[in-house]
Amino acid sequence: MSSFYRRKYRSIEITVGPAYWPVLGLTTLLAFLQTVVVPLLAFRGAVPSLVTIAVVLYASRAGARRGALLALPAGLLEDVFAGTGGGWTVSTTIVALLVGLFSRRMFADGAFVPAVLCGAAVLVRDLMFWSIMRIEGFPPGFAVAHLHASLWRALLTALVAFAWLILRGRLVTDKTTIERYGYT
Amino acid sequence: MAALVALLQLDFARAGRTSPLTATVTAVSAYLQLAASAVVNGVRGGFAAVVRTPGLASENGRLRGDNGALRAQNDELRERLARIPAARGLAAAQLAHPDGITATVIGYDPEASMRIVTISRGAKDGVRRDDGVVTGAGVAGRIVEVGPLSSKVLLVTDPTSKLPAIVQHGRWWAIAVGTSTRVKLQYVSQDAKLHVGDRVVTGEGRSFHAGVLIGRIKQIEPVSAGALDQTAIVQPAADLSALSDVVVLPQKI
Repeated sequence: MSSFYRRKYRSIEITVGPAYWPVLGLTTLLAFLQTVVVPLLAFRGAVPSLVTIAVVLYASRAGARRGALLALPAGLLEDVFAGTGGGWTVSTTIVALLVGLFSRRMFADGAFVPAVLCGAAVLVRDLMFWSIMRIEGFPPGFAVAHLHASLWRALLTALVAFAWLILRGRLVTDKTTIERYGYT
Repeated sequence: MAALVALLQLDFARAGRTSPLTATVTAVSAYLQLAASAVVNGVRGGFAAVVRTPGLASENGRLRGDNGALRAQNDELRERLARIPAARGLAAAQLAHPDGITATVIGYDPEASMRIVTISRGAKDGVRRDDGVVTGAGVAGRIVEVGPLSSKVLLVTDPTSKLPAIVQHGRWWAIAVGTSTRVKLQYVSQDAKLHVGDRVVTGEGRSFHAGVLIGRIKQIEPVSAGALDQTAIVQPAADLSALSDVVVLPQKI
């Protein structure tokens, strides 16, 4: 009986966090913006990663598994737009898994901690991306060569995430799980 | 009393002077006239406004429409003005390469980690892998991926981009490698007498014919002891940070 229970309800994470499909739609939109508009606003050769923000914020609230389910198509879209061979797909998915696991040990509420998490995720993601590109045959040393740009990207991403979370905090009041499912 | 007043007035009139009574009454009445005329004019203006209100509303709407149209026209003209250099560059590129396929840049690398852009022409338009891509100013890059309707261009500044190059003055051969922001000219003979400002053009290769401008030497790196070659930094002639229109050069057969 207990094994049946565990198989059907592997985690309580499925009952919290935003709904998947609207977030996937929003992330797709952000990925389009990321390829068409955001590069035009580059600062010191770096652009904030809107896709990373979406994936990290979702994974920190919805858990590792659902975060990875969002990260997979998001990273795939970025690979399609960038013309790279799976580097973003794999690195984004791993970042979502890491953030999902890490978020069990912290409160994702507020703006500062999730924003810092977004910035850190950009660094980890870039490092993994260039490692994968190295495995795919790129010359070595690209991660180091792009470190400066990665640091700027992390900073810009953290700032955008912070601004978004502050704005969202003022405009949106999240329902509690009890309110959402009507257990009154 | 009336007769007295009348006689006094007559007396002043005959003397050609203004009587004090006349002066007083005139002064007071002037203020009253001013006040009255202000009220009357105000009322008359208000009435006229009330009468003309429906007309004013429609006139206002028409003027707003005209204003909107003029603003839109102004925006369009500003955009055309802003596009003139790009259009001129594209026209120059088309003139230099009549067989070229014109394309518009429609996308960039989402994470700006690689110097790759997406253009609006693909296999359907005759674009093939390794085709060269130029702007009016010079080399932009080469095609690395072709889809049915779009293609990806690896810019000459990407660290994975390598092109055969020639320093025009002196005809020294080299390899032009991207450095993310500029191009590094590698393996230039140690005998080459490089100068800042020298033009660097493509050598005969798979993607380009010889002689297409890559850029100008911006900096010559000091030669280390025992080195067999020298390197120089080249500023690309094409503004790769603001690419909008490019010409794809079909590969030589």
